[in-house]
Order: sequence, then C-alpha cells, then structure tokens
Amino acid sequence: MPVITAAIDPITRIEGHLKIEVKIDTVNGVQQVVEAFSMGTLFRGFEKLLEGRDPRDATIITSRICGVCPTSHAMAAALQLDSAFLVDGDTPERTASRLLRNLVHGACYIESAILHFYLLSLPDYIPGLPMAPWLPGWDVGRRFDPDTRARFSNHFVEAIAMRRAAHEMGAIYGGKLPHTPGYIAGGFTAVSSADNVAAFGAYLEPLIDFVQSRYLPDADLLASLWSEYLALGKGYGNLLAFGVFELDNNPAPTLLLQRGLKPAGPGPAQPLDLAEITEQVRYSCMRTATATTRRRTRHQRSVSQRQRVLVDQSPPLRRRAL
Amino acid sequence: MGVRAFTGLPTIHISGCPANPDWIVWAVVELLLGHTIELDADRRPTALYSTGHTGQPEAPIIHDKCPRNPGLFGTPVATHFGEDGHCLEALGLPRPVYQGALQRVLVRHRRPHVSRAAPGTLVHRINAPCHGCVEKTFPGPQSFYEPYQPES
Repeated sequence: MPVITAAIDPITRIEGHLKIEVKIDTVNGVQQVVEAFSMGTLFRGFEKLLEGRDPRDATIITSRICGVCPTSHAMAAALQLDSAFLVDGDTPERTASRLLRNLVHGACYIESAILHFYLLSLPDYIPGLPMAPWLPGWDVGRRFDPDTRARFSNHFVEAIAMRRAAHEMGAIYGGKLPHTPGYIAGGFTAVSSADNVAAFGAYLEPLIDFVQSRYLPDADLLASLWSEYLALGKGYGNLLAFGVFELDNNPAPTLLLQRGLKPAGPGPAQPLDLAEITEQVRYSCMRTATATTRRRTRHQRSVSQRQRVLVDQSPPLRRRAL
Repeated sequence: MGVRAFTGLPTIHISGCPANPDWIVWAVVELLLGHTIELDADRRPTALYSTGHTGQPEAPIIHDKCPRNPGLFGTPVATHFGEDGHCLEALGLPRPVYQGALQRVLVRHRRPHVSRAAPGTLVHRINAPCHGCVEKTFPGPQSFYEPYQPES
C-alpha cells in the first residue's frame, strides 16, 4: 500500500486555526498512522494591536482573541495589569473585585465547558439533522443504541439553553458577554446589589443541576463507550495547570483550581515555576532571515535571533519540518 | 478583501464585537419577508444604527441621550470606577456610538415580557465605559479609559 498523507486544515468547529496532518503507512502488514503533526496556523497579531496603546486597554483587546474563552484572556490581562501597577493589599475593594472577576469568569468556565462537550464535540458521536450544517458529514463509528442517541440529542438541545443561561448569568456583572467590559486594571467596574445576587443564584441553581444530572453522567457514558480512546493517541503525559479562581487577596493567593506541574509517570504534582517558561520557536513555521523579520521591533528581532540559533542547532529532520 | 468585493454581491453589515444576535435575526427576517433594508454609508441598517427606539434620527454620540447624562438628569460624574450609577464621561465615555445601538440594547432589557435579568444588559449598568465596538474604527487608536476626543 502506498504511504498516505492526509491533512485537515483548519479543524473547523473544534478549533478554527488548527491543522492536523497524519502519515499512514503499512508496518508489519498493518496499515497505521506512523506520524502525526498538529499546527496552529493562524497569525493573530494581538501583540501588534497592543503596541502603542494605553496598557489599560489590554483587558478589552486581548479578550477578543477568542469567542469561547474571552473572559479568561480579560482576566489574565487584568492580573498582569494589577501586577504592573503594583495593586495589592487586603482591602474590601480588592475582595469585591476578586469576587466579581471570579463570578464572571466562573460563568464563562461553565459556559465554555458546556459548549465544548455538547455543541462542538458531541456532533462527532451522534448523527445530526439531515441538513446543513450537519451535512456533509461522516457517519462512521457510531456506538449508541437508539435510546442513548435520543438521550444525547435531547441533551444537545438542552445544552443550547443552558449555555445561554450561563452567558446571561455572567452578563449580570459582566454587562455583556462575550467580551465583557467589566475587567479593568486594578479591579472590576460593577457594583453588586442584592437583586444581582438573587438573579445570579437563580441562574446558577439550574446550571449546577444540569452539570450534575446531565453533563457529568453523559461524559462518563461517552468515555465508557469509547474507552480505548483513553489510551489511543495519548500524549507525553507532561501536564501543567496555571490555576484559577483566587480565594484570597495575597500576592500568591490560594487558588480554587490549583497551579501545578505533573510530569509523566508516577509521583505527585510539583510546584510550577513560571520563570522556567520561556519562548521558543523551534517548531514554528517561521523564516528567520526574511526582510519581514528584519523590519520588526527590537523584541521580535531578539526572538528571531534566538530562533536562528535554535534552528541551526536543530537536527536536519527538524529543519526540514520547518 | 471584504466579502462584498470578493463575491461582487451586496452586503449588509451588522457591526459589533460580537454583533447583537437580535440584530442579525432582525435582518434575516426582514430579508425573508422581502423588505428592503435601508443602509447607512457603512452599509449598516439605519433602523438599527442611526435611529432611536422612537424611530427618529438621533445624534451619533451615545452620551447625548444617556440615562446618566449629567446635563439631562443631574447625574454626578464619576471620578473613579466603582461609583455606582454615575456618569462615566471622565473615565472613557462618550464613544462615537450611534444612539440607536445603545437604545436598542436598553429597550431589549426593559421589555416587560422578558423575565430574565441579564439579556441586553446595558454596559453602563455595570459602570463600564462603552468601547464603541459597533464602530467602523473600533478599536481605534485612543485609550478606552480617557475622555473621548472626536476625530477631525
């Protein structure tokens, strides 16, 4: 059998700027994937958008990176600005803004998870309606009996309403979602009222019920039906999490979802040293000596010089892959 | 190259970041009903972007008819964020947003049969300046957090 190279570019629905390329060959008489590559192929240029601007604009601009997780980007920019402006202290104002940031971010967390599981991923497992945008599609590897299929189809529709509710919940303090204007350097714009708290709770209760009675059992069922996928195509197993949802106003706050590094293999999670994270472009689709890079800013020139070194040190195979 | 230049077909621009879903549905329904949609110079429906909820043309500055306008309603001007209900003109407003855009959002929020709290919540309600995301020049070169200087 000849070697087959296939690419899906972009991976629509799941990730609009992701390319997956696989090489399929026959090894010991068995046709299998022998190489697989993933690439982020879209230049976004958000750093360029921020150059020359008021730094406080960062929460508003960076939010626009993504329509699924805009609030996480606004939050990250707000934390960075807090740090740059030396915002600190255990004050009622900081407590209020921390809680409001967390509530809006939390609403988006729930919204984003529901969106990912039901609206973006599930269509690969259940047949859609016989019309666009579900057609054209493929109809292979179905493992649901009719009852399970009906269950997932119903939950798919329910998830649309739940996702909307999560967005509306976040908009109580976020003003609008996606791309809330509420996150600002040093704090948050909204002032909470008793009505706001009641309205937030009225949205949150059904969402908690949906997650517990639908989402989690559905995820477990899907995982049990495709249990071999837990090992198939497994990555290196080196995992890290930056953590989220500050529980106090300390400079290194306790986080609800903790920060840590979990290298592959046995052993507990380790502390994550952010200083160990550096920029590298070894596997990037960049040319080092083009006129375009020479015209860039000093920061980018230094990146491209580092990049040239890295490329020169790369084994020949890597250089060809570039 | 824009969609219009690429396809050679007329387009309707529903600007916003993101566009208000009600406005998109409105435009689709108008087309399905066979109505002609009147557009402004930027190909945006005048019904959505250049007129207020009364149907009358309105000034293109959001501040002029804001429910927090100090001149109209005696609202105090906020000097920093967190002053609930105050005018935000010293903290970033007014952006050059068509009044219609603001009013439509406001009206949607106040619709009596809408029982939910949050749809169409006005960004002013959370004391945040408008960033003018329906404007052709968005995000523009000016700071979002300094008083707006109209471009000449």
